[in-house]
Amino acid sequence: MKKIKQVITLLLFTVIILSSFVGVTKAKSEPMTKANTIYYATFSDPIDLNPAISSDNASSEVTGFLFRALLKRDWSGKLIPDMAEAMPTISNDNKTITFKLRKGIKWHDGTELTSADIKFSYEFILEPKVASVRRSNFINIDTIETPDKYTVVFKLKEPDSALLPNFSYYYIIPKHIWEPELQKLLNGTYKSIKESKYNREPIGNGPYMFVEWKTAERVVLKRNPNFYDPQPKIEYIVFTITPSQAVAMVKTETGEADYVVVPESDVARMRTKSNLNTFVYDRASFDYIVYNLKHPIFSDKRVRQAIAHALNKEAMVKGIYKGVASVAHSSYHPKLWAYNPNVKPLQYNLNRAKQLLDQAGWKVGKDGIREKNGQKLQFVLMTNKGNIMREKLVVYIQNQLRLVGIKVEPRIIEWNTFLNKYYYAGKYDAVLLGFITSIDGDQTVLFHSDPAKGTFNRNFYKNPQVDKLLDDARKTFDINEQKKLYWKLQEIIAEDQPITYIAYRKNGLSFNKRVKNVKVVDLLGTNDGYMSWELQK
Amino acid sequence: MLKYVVKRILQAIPLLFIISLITFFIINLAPGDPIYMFINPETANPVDVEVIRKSLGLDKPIYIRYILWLKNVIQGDFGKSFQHGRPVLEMILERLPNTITLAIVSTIISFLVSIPVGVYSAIKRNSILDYMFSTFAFIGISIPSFWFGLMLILLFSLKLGWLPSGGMRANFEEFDLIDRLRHIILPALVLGMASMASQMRQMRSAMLEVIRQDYIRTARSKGLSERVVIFKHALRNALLPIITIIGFIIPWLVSGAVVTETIFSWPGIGRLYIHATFMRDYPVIMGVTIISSVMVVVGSMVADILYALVDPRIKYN
Repeated sequence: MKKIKQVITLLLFTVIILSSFVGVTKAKSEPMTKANTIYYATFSDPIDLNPAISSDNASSEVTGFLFRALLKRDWSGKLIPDMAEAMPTISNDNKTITFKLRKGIKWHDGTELTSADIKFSYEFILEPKVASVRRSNFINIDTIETPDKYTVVFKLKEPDSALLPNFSYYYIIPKHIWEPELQKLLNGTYKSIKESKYNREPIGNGPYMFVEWKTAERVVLKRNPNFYDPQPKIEYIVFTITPSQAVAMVKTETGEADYVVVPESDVARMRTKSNLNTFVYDRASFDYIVYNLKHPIFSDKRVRQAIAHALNKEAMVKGIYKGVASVAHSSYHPKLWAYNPNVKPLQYNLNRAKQLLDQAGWKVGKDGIREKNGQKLQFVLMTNKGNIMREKLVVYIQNQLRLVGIKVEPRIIEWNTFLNKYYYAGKYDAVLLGFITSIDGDQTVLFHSDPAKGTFNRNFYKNPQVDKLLDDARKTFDINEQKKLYWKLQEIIAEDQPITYIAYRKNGLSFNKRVKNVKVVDLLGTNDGYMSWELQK
Repeated sequence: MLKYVVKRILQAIPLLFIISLITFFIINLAPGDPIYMFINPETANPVDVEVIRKSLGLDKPIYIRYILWLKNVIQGDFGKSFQHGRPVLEMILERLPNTITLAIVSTIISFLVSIPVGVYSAIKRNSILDYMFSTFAFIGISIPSFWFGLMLILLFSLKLGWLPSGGMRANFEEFDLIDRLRHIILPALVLGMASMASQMRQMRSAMLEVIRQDYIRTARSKGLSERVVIFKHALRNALLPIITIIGFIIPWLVSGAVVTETIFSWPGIGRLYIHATFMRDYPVIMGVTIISSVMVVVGSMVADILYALVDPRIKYN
């Protein structure tokens, strides 16, 4: 018995010793209290807090507070200067973009930010060995010059107005920190830039500074007293890292966290919570059907149009997206500046669908399935496994198209196999996928027939007129000129119907009611509204 | 004894090799591509995808990758995480103390409950309380830990608001015992539940067997009080089989922790493992597998040795 007591005492002792080892941090000068800290429940540990290489949501959410870009967006979505003094000047041949920087911008370690940092940041991202997922966005940059400390001149290989929004997406990183790290990558000390410790101890220039990152527990940011714009109102931001979205939502419901991203399926439930304000906003993202245009059935655009007419998108939005989505007829969200409201959507109309199929020569057979020259009007509709919404959609589409005599065989395949064996290889009839567009007009990646440009044009869509419109729009920096071109583009795409849109996605955000002045805007989400968030005393 | 230990260690080497081989090939053949875990296939440029694939070394054939991995592990290098670029060993060691803390606390809870209850059930066999404890034990063994965990969160965090729904601490600035206990109690209870129930049954049957022995009858006939008979003579012998349980705690610790840590946002090795699996972070999956296999092997060896130390009837030669 005595021995047992001893063992238990020993065990208890070990626990206490062990737990005291587990990351006790030094007390900070300005203590963090519930009253000066906002807690954000996230559902994944960040990967790298380096905006040049990170591409996951969890990392971008953190770096958004730490780093700044040359340009940013106002609440209407318009590009406005951030670190730049004014919007850039563009040469007459549209091949030179010149930025003047604001003076007195400092990195979190006190070093001054100059044009050399800007030049370095873009050279860093363009270095193939860095393997940045953002590289292709800036591939049109030829050289970067810095005539003085506050002037940066981008010389382009060819005019590219799509660079402007990209200047707002990519944050600038400090040269004095990253140049030696880049050297280590180039001389082989590092196999990957991910090995640098600064990915975990970021030095930025944003309104918040990095304090600590306890893996799988939390990331802490503190207000930057030397920020170049008016300071945010909340002293600390804590990202509480949980293993899943469900857990993150529970933390917000209990009040342990102040805000969380909510999926479509849970918006209604979160709205019933009395301690939360739940917001829903539109995203420039849609789910769509991609037709393989080399497939004999889909080479006739009347069949594609018929399918668009046969789909009851309203019912899908209501039933599958639980009303948290909106019907889509175009890759341009109706709230985008480039959206053309005059294009007539292919509305739900079964008779029109049947008529089009009849005209295309597809006659109803004995079993109710249409046929032409002995061939049945049937195809396989693939989607990726793991996305419950899409898995439901393919079955729904199967039932809908049966009504007009089209037989659909749904097939759900794991991502990697789906992409590499079928989709990228062009071995499919039709697929159901999602896409996120930029909130600007350029959609070269979706529709251009040049494989180097149309990286997401995977269904062999080729229309020289479309290619020209896309190229021309990128060659001009005149918004009105671009708008004209994009309006024309939307007319052609609607008629060609190389892809059929189902619904625009929405996002939910729940905030504890103690957080005041929250603003959530369609297409932008919270933007940089956190600067004016306040906590109720 | 030393010879026995050396023999056990030598036996463990081929075992660990086979485990690593099977795990490596299974995870590499399983569907899923690590690359699509950190770039969105819906927005990534395929050219960039190839560059990244090469930078991770995933362009080489699988057997070459295994040989390279094995070579490095033998030199003590578990490689670097695909996702984070950090040394795998560093990531594991950062989490291991948290898992061990959770495991020890849950073991203590389960011993504190199961031993007295087991003893009581054996002495008062077939009493109403004994039946109740047995029912409780069967429920405890059968209850799925993810469900039990969620129910506890629902009750104690969401409805009553007494305990935090997860995490390891709220006070990061200093070591705060009350804060730690508030956070550990639910996950430790969930993790300890199944073993508590089975130890209860084991304790009961061990005790029953011991009190039928001749030496107990002798003790009683000597006129010793029932208390002394039960606690001094019977319990000490009945506790022997419980010691072997310590050996089983380790595998259960790793596997049980995967579920418990995920539900309770506990920053331990189980959560690292499951995250790595979802993210197809092969080096981390391999690292955790190997480290936990080593722990299992060592654990069962320690249990065998302990058993020999406390029970003079057992000798290893």
